[in-house]
Amino acid sequence: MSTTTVTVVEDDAALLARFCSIVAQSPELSLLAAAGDIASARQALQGGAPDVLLTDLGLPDGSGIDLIRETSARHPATDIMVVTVFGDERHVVDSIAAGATGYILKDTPPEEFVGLILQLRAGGSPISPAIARQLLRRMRSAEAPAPDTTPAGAHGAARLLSARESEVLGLIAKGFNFAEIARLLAVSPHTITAHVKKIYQKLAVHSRGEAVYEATRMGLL
Amino acid sequence: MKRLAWACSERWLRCVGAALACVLLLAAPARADDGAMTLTEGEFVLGDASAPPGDDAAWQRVALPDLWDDSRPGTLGYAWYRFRFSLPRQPDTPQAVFSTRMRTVAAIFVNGTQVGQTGLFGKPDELGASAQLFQIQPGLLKTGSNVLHVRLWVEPDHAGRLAKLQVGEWVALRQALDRERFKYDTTGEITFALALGMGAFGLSVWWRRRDQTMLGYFSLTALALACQIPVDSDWWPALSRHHVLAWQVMSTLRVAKFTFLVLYSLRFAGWCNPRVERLIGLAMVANLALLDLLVFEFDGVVDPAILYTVNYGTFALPGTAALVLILLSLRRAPLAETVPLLLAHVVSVAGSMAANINESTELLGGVQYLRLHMLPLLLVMGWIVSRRFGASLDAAERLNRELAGRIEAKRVELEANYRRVADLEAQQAVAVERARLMSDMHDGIGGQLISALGLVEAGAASHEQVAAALRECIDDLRLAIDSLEPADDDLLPVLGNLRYRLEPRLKARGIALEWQVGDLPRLECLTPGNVLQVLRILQEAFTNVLKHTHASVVHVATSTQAGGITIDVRDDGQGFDEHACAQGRGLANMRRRARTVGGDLTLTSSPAGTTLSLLLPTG
Repeated sequence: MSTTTVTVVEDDAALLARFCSIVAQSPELSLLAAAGDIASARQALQGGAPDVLLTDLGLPDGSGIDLIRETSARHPATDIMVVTVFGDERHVVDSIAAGATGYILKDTPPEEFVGLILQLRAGGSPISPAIARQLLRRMRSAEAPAPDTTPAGAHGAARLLSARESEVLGLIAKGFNFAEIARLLAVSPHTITAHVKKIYQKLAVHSRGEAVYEATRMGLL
Repeated sequence: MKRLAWACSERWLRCVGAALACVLLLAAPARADDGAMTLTEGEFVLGDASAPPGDDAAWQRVALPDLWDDSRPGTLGYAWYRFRFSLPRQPDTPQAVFSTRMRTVAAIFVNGTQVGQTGLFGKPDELGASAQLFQIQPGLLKTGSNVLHVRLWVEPDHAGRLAKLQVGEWVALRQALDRERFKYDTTGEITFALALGMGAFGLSVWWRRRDQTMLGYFSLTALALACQIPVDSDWWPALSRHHVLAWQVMSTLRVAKFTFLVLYSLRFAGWCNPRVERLIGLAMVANLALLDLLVFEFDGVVDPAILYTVNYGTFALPGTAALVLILLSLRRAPLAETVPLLLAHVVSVAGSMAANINESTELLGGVQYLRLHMLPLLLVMGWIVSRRFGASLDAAERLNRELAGRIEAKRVELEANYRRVADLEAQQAVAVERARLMSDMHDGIGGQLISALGLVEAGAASHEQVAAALRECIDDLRLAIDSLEPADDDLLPVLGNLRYRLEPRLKARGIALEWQVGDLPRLECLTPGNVLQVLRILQEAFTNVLKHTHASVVHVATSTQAGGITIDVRDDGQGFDEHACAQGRGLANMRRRARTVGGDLTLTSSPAGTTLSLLLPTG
């Protein structure tokens, strides 16, 4: 079995070293490149796309969101993970909208760190109740801009999110974990993680569409 | 400025032009009668012979115009006129006989040959048009002496009369006829159409705007005038034959017209007194009734002078009253309105008087634009009404604009106020939040960092202890950040997030977590500050479980009661003594926090486990 290649982008030298060493020490992972800013990250990505891109958001020469957007457009096969201090939903949801499918806390212990990368690679995206709630809110408001269209909530949500996806998000928001939700819905936990990744991708696609729409409206395209 | 001056002068030019045109129109009859001779001296004889009587008949001298009422009152039936005239030579152009007024049944004979006839003898029917032109057959007129006979039939209830006759070139007399017809018929039609149009239009506007009383009086004046024309001009011969009825209709219309004129003038002068207006209306009706009574009941009994006075009263009195009113308003109403109205009124009164004189001596000819004399007055009245209507509309619009401006100003003011209030509220919110964060930092992470620092500085802390202290700091910071996410009154995501954060640690200790939550009612108390308090209480509860109880399972359950919800955190650990110093302080802290959010905390601990119940109010 081949190892999962990882590129790390982080401007804090100590943290970068920590992440690199975690990756390097794991037999399942191999470090492809490490970068401290967006410019060198772009250069590194041109040299070769990793299986997983780990990136910080606050970089000295720009926002990690842009890097996420570019990478997800150019290298669809690459899984993107955001490295965040708090895992607060605002940063995470913005990253998901840009194309990330996972996030990882900066203080995550090494073994958990590797586990999360491998889990993401296997199709399992992490999600907190707060993020689930934020996603539900965001997608519903995107689908039902006019609150007076009769069955807006349910009907509108069904267009972007499937009924099952809405249900899963709702249960996550209530604090149930994947195993419990799988039990409640009588499916395997893996199905639930797949749902989550699908939802993330939908948000990213929808956000791209929205961006195109906005650009058209402003006369950019 | 220049433009305005030009516009004004243009307006005046137009007015002057219109006046000139009127003068020219009036002057037009002055150049008639070219190439025609007027017969004024003749002979008259009564008799129903169908052919012109000879010299043996009892011819009497007569002068034209001949009014039978004056020359032979009470006479009716057939009669003949004879006029002799001489021509220097036989005319070589078509010739004709012309009469400006011929409203009886009549036949014209030239040198014994009939050349024309109006109506039918013995048949009280068509009276014919006012002016008549009869063509003379070529060769009928001779050089030297010629004779013209007129046969006349005066039917009962009709006045016998013969106007001046003219003999001459057909072409010239034809023009005279056209002029006569224009004077008599066309002017009537013009007046009728204009008066009817203005009256109907004004009335329709007044119908919708009852407050425009002046407009109403104007419209009624115009309509009364319009109705007068057909009666006056014999448009319905059937009515004209009923002299009495025609006279009554005419009088009524005239009285109505003058009454409305007076009422209009009252309004024009600015006196709005409905009671006075009603009285004037009654007075005019009474005047009319009196006239009727005098004419038809006391005919011949009363002095004709009285009759004449009363008759005159029907229009001279209101006419004069209107004039006086307009004069009186010279000071009050704008001069631009008063002067034209005054002039128009004078024209109409003069025309009216002339018409009245003319009516009794209709054959005299003279100024015949009788039906036009009311037009200037009508036009000026209409102009004034529209001017005032426009002015009141302008005023209303100005008022509206003013009002809109004021509303806009108020709106802007309100908006500014609102913005100020919103700003203040935002500032207040920021201040409150800042105070909360400050006290929170003080309570939480600040204290924790200081104790961690103390540990490190004392050198007594192991590596693990420092790491644990710092981890606690980060945990607390995360709680604070989680509490900032709007809860939307929903506790479940708050609990869920706490679980998400804590579960890996529980798992690491081999503690299972049973999650038994259900849908909860909305909790209005879930402000960010209160959310943080709840999170801290629960975090403390979990910390206790992790640190002290050696439990293997933790149950988290929610339940709903009247007025609140309960969160239970139950473990199967060994329990602890609530009065033990360290735990006691932690517990006191938790209780304090619970009270801050308006809730309550109960704790039961036994060697079989500990249950912490946090009650939160729904209201």
